[in-house]
Amino acid sequence: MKAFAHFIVKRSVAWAVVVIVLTITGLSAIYANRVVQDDDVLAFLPKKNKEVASFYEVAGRFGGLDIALVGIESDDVFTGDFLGRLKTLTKRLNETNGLEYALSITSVEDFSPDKEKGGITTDYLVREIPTDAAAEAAIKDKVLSRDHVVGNLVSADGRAVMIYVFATPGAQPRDTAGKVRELVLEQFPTEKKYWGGAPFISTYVYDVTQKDLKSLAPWACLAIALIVLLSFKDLLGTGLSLLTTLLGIVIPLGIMGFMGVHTNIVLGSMPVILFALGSAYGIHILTRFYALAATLPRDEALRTALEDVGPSVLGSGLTTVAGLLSFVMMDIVPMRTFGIFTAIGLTIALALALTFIPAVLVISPMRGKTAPTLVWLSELMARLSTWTQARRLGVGIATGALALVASFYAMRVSSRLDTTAFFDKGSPPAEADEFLQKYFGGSQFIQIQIKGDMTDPAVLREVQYLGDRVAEVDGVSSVVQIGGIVAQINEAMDDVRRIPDSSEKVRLLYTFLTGKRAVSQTVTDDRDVALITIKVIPSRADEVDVVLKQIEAITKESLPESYAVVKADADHADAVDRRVEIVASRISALAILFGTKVAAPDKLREALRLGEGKPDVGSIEKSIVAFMKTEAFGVPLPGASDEARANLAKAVAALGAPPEGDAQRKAWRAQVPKAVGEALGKDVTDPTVDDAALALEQNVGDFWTQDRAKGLSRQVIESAGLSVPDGPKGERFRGFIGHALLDLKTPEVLMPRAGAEGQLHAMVTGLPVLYRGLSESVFNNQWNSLWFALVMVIGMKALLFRSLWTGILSSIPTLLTLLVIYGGMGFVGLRLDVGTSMLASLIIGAGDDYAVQYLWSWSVPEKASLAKAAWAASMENGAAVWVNALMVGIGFFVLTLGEARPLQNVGGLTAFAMLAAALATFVVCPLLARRRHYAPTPQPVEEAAAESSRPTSAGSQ
Amino acid sequence: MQRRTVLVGMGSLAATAALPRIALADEKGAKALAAIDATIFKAKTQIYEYDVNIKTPDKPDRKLGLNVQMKNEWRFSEFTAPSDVKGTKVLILSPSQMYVYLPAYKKVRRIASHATDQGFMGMNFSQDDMSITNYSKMYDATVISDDGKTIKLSLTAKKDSEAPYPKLEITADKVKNLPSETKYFTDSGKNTKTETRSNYKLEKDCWLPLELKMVDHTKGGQSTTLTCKTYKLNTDIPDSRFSKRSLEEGA
Repeated sequence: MKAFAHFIVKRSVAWAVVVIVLTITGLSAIYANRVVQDDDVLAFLPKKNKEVASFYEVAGRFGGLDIALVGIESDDVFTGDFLGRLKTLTKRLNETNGLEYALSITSVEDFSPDKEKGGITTDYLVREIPTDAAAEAAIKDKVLSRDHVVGNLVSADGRAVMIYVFATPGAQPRDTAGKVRELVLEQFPTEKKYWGGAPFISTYVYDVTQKDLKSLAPWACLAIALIVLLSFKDLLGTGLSLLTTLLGIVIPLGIMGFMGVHTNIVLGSMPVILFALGSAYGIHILTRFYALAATLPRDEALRTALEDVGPSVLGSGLTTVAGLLSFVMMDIVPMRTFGIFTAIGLTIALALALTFIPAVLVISPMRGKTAPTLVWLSELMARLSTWTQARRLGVGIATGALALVASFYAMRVSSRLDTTAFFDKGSPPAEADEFLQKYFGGSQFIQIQIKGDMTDPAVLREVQYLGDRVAEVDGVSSVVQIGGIVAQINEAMDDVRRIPDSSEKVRLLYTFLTGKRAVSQTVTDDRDVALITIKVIPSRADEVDVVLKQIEAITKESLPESYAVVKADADHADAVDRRVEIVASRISALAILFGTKVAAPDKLREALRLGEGKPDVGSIEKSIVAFMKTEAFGVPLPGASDEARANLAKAVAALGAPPEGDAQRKAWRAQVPKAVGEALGKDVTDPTVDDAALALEQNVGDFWTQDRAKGLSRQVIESAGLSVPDGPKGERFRGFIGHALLDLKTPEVLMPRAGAEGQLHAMVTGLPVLYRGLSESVFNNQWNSLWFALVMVIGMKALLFRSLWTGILSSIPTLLTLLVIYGGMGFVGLRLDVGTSMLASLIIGAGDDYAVQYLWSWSVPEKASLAKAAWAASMENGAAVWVNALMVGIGFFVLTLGEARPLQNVGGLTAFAMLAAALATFVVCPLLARRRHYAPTPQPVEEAAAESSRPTSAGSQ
Repeated sequence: MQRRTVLVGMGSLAATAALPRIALADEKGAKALAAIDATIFKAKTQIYEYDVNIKTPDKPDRKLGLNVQMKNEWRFSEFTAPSDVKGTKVLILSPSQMYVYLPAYKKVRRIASHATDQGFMGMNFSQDDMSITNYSKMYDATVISDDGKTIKLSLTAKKDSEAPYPKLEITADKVKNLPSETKYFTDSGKNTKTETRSNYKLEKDCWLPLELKMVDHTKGGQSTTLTCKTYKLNTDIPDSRFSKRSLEEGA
């Protein structure tokens, strides 16, 4: 440092330094203008994390798992005007690039039996926009009768609708949210709207943070400048010091522009951090220079000032740089970028303080005040230090107790990422959350990916079984799975809502579903992977975690990894039991869908083992008559009287139900023309007989099946004491139970069999799982960066002091501060997140140099009291440390004045930490410092400090 | 070329309310459109055998085999490949009367589909796309450009017409008076689909495009190409072919 000091004070060198610095700054300013702001929210996800990687793998396979939810409230959502606008909006969302798929009551597909013409009608649930009150009432009845739609796409009271918008995989949440919001506002400018789901929440948090940072950062810098000015009371000196910091901001930005590195939201805080941390270096040198220049020639004063404070400024600066560099240990790219470029900025500010400021002092006649500032503050700290030293035992115990209590609470800090912690009550995301929970069963989604042969009915039933079991978990509001969709399309073809028993039927049904966006989010085109989507009511991370853990447990328990498809017959009792279990779960899930519950599961299982009652032939005859009146029958009967139809129905019903086996069924079909011919009084070769027999052969089986389902349903409801809702809803419930009960005749069941060929692989994913991965990453980042920072900082200080113990000792105040901060977080329930995980590095970087400065000044002659060293070190550093702590503290405190929670947390905690670190320095250092001096060369004790060493006997050693 | 192929009525599960727009036709545009309508082939019966290729970005192609027979308003089609759909037959007697034979179910099912804006079995041709049998009846035309060889027309739906799209843009060969490209627009003015017709063949005084391609821009550029392998025009097809019973034949 001595040689450097002699070198830098040369006039030619000084001019060269100034010219070089200004040239570099000019170039940097040009390149700094080219720096691009990167608003990539997804960049904050650690891509190598297993759960994050799994999330993206699944999202890539099935389309966006990022779902934007838009709730719209109105007095009546079934008016023609509202529905017309909703239809237009949904259509436009579906036409927009970057949005995978939008679903509302106007785009959801609907199948219903055509009672007049027979067969099935396929349509959108809301296609024709009603033009009068009667039509509005009719559409309202129709929509509210769809149980899977109510509570998902429309509220039960008909006053709110929901639109689900699935983002294209890899789309920026900001873009998704922006596009959706623009289109929604265009169609619904006046209605109350709620913006929920991850794209809106992450965008809100990001935007609010960015806005606060942009508006508050200048104020924070101004506050720091004012504090420097007020404490230093030297406009030129303050200006020079702040100028070097400003250059320390411009130059790294120039480097970023030159290298094409994008800035990000975290880097937006760099000016505040550099102003807070970097301004002190120049002040230290200027203060010393001013003091020495009062008595020494200018060049000598500058040389001496650099020799005196240069090493400690360099040491403390490098420790701060090391603290910031610890961000490179994180696996989140923007955090690493932040760490690297903030460290570069601080290194530049440090270098400029040691070169540019002396150079300016050499070439300019600049002079400052010599009088020490804030002496009262230094004296106060000196009293505290000596008081501490005089009561080492008591203060030591109290400090230890504080550390213990803080450790206890620090252990309770949750690292689980909770997005609800990022916004206040009453904020748009909080309002949306409340709305979605109240009317639409929440806004959080968990997915289960299952790899297996989804064309195998037994596998599909297992997927459905898993979905049904999950539906029973408290906190789950809805489950969508491919088994349900296949069952629904099967109903369109076969009149019963169940998964068919043959893979030929399943494969055929899939072809009808090909290209449907809603379906592509439940099964892949090759039918080898399925996805169950589960909507959960809670939104707080800890509550979602409870649900998530249950879902993970059920998934593990329900799905065998290897299986065999086994005949469910008397030879395989376990297969029969499993079949009963599958049907029981189906009924429990249906009960939940219809707002009731299976009160006695054991009774239900008993009821499922009862045999079937006798079919109601009269009911089947009625069904046949009704069918003959439809277009689907399509055969004009001679006479066409009700009596003729009744006779014909009676004759066909008398043949009994079509048997299962192909040969028996063929024999049964052969009897139909004869029965029809006899009933119509015509020969079997008559074309009318032939056509009627054909139509009846194909459809009569369905009537027997439906009647059987009804009978079973009645039987099970009575035996198990199931509570059935009144009215049409209850009828639908009975009908679906009947369809489910037909699965009791399923010929084959999937059974766990170790080593068998059939394989199933399940994986639970979704945003809550991704957040869990991110939380793990944040937790690991915290530890990695903490250890890195500590090792680097202690190592550097050990080199500076040439003593490992001193390196450790000087870090103890910061460690205590960290414990207090994390203990405080645990006490008030603040979580560790991407923002708060920055705290450790920032606190180590910013607060660690207080103890370095203090111990560097700790110097007392042999046999003198250590209290004198404490007094002198405090007098030397008291004001400087507190001014710096206030600078940093107020700079960060300003960031709490906005509405961004992450910024409030980081700002408030860092501000508090700086004050705590300053206080800890004046308590812990005198408590533990037992040497005469810690600097390699004993520092000269300032006259003023030594003379006012009042505690001549206090705190002796 | 008769636009009403067997795909009419096969869009199975959706519908949209196309909003007709009023536009002023120009005389030159109207004449050009009338010429196109006049050139479009109207045979009494048609039989086609198609190879269907569905291309989805980042996914393997999906291929279907499709045989089509048409007479009057009736359409009878049968899927011949792949094995999942082989034997599936569709009979359309009118826009609201459609029957499907499902080989796995061994039965005929009546399906009334009002979802006319969706494709069938993953194809990008929808019922809406195929429902325009005479442009001049549904649209007013204005000329966008005319370079002597090709003419580009902007078609706007006539008031009260049941045009499925509010706007089309047609590029046609001026010599043959046949469209080579048709762009379909939504009421928000977005071009959602583009159809190209190529490899025209002259058969019995009629031009047939042997390749039809529809690109859906809302599905990341997914496309369906129909390549005509064989065709027969004006052969005798008995009415009984278009009956429910014929759906079951050969099953």
